[in-house]
Amino acid sequence: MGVVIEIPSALKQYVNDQDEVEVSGSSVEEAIGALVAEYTELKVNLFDENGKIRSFINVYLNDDDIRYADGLKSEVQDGDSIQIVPSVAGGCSTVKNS
Amino acid sequence: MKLNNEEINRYSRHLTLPEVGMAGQLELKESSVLMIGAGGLGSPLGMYLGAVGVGKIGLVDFDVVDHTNLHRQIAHTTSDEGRPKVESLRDTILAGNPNIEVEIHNIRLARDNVLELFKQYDIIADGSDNFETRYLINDAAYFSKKPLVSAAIFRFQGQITIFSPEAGGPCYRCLYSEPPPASLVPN
Amino acid sequence: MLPGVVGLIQATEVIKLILDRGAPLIGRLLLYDAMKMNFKEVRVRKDPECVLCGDNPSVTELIDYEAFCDVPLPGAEVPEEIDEAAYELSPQEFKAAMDQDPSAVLVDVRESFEWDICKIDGAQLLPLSSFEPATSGLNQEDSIYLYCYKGKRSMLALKELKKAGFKKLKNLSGGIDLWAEEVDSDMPQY
Repeated sequence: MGVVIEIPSALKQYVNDQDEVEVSGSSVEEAIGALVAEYTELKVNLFDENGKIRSFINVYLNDDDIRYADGLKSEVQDGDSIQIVPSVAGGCSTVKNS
Repeated sequence: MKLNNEEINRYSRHLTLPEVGMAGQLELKESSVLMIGAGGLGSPLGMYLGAVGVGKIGLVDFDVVDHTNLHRQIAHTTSDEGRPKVESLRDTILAGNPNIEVEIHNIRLARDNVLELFKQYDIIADGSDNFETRYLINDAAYFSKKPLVSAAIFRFQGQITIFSPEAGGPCYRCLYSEPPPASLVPN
Repeated sequence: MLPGVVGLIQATEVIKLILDRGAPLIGRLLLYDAMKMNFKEVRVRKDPECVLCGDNPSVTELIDYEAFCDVPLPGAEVPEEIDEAAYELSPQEFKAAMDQDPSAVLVDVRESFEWDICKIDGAQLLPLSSFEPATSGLNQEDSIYLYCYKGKRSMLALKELKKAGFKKLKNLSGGIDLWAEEVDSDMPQY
């Protein structure tokens, strides 16, 4: 049993449309690192050029924001869940208007 | 403020709930809510706020009802196509409950009108569909010291929270200090 | 149906605030997933470094939100500035030019879910999300006629092709949406 990372629908296209991906690692950084190593297109969507989580994305470890724990260094154990939650702004629209 | 006999009858199932009662029903009648967006979220939101007896509802939207809105923006019907959404939603709300007041603002919310508008309401409800408006609403709600009940959807996922720094909670910027780059914004 | 559920939760929270009853969604972000049909809750907190409500705020009045939200993607290539008008054809012009052009190749750069709704006869689908001139199978000898929903995405594809050396390029102005209005009245609009 590893760590389950839940993928929001806004980013599912980069992980073959999966809802969640199981990885292994001992910190959030390792776990997400394993995820983006497998799905390389996800990297630019999650991290800025300095390797920090982008400011419109929050990462929750077992339902609490990692910014208020040890950030990417926060320790994880098998059975933990990591939730990636991007900022969304929709009130109704669905179709690409371009 | 008192309820008339029609209102007492209408809200009777509320009046007999200990959580609401006559005092609660009067609080609803005396309250005012400004809704931004009269579309997918605004339809059910406005219809329910009106039905339960929120005394004053303000509607902000500058769009008109399009045929492609009808399958999910349930306050608008086929005959409303082409009408301003705020008018269509107002009519639906008032058809459900004529005892309340619905103020329509057929405008694009902007820096020069938002604070004046927020002043006139107790609670702000955000159902807008773009980041510019969401940050504008967040900042204006903070400066106006009004709680902001925020909901957003993307495909089959929804996010709901209340931004109320006054009550010790975060604001939208505490969660997301910056919007996504335009090219990453999922439509 | 998703906005219905979310809008009603929003209404419930508004009513609770008015009545001052129950536990409001302050400090909690509720996540609803209709496909999994589950609700999750995560804890959200006030950021002491928040530029608006933090300890040392720098945003003390309303700002220019359009500029604030116009964030470029770091490292992304800015599309080349070209004289777009030189490549744009109205739906009638686009059809007439294609009909007379024996080397015409019609390319639809929308996504597959849009292709399933409607398409122009004879087109091939090359979605912009995975569009690469080198692997597109398109030939520089041919005249490439591009379209999308409204004409913007196909212009981006056109710029990529131009950069890759393609010279005979045309873009359907207004996209398949305007085509449905002006050329093919049987085509559904979405």
